[in-house]
Amino acid sequence: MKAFEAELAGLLPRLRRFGRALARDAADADDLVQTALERALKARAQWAPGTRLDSWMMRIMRNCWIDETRSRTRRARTLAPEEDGLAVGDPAPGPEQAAAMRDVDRAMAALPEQQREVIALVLVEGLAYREAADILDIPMGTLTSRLTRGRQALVQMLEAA
Amino acid sequence: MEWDDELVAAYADGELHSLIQDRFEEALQRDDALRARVEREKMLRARLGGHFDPVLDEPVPDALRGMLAPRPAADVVSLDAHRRRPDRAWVPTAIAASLVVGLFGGQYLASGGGISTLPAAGGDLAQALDTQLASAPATAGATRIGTTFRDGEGRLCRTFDGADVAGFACRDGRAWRIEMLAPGSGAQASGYQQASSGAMLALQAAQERMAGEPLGEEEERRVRDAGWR
Repeated sequence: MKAFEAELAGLLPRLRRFGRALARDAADADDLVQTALERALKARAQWAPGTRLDSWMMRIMRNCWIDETRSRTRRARTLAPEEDGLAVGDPAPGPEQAAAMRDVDRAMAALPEQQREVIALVLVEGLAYREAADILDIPMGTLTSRLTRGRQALVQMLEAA
Repeated sequence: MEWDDELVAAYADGELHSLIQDRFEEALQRDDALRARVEREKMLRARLGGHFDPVLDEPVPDALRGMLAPRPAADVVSLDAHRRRPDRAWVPTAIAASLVVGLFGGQYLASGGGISTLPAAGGDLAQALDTQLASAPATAGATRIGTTFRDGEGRLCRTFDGADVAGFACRDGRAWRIEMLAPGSGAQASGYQQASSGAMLALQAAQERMAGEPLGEEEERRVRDAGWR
């Protein structure tokens, strides 16, 4: 089943983007992708060939992220907001661009988890409502209301920034 | 009609039901404020895209890509190094066995090379692969066929377990290409040949390559008689 690895490899850029939308920095995002890949490779027998591998992977990633945030909550994060911009490894952007990047990251990070994951799937990954609702195992009505609330919060934060 | 935020967002996302969509678009014609709300939703999507989409163009870190590179599962001996060699007959089993045993302590051959130069099975092994049905009774010391299956590319593959080596091979034209090798069951005095741990590894590796179910007895006989097509 080499096709499985090949298809997963083709998804990596998208999974990294999805990770970036869920996690607050690039390093955390790639850690998340790595954890999810490990889980996926172990659970490969559960993937039905012919079904969407991207949806399957995003579901795994999202579950890994929930596990991660739970253990983080237990560790009680203490990172001050001012330190957000100090993430290493980013290409040096202009001051305006850096501010804009921080704004989006900060606004995303400020969203409640349930709204952020919906925003990440629909507005960042471009999934249809139905697909996103299936990944998250929630009814369509719940999806659209979380999406609306998440949008309103984002617009508010980005306009205020 | 009042259009709530959910409907405006759904319209911007192209998710509005067609019946409602017609009415929404009628309203858009007359309602500047509504148009502005739609624009605002589209701008948000564009802004998020502008922020996150560049990730798609970043090089994927090696640590991630490496996890998906073709490589053997733990304890399965890779034959990748053989792939650089020119085609030749199956290496004598004693040499293969010592190679396998030498590698089995956790050393793997470096990966690389193309699939076209995998070693081809020869001699007794080729004959067993060519002729023997999985249901054939086991003979002490002789190669035994475990299961016959098709891989994702539709090629016929068979697992085998012999005194020296176990593994699986896939049909490539008129030859059997060895895809994976592990230590065999060892020469056994009794007529009953127990499956070796190598055979288990072979089966495990084979399962990962298997597309669908293994061939049944009748189908196996049919494809054998048809020249493994």
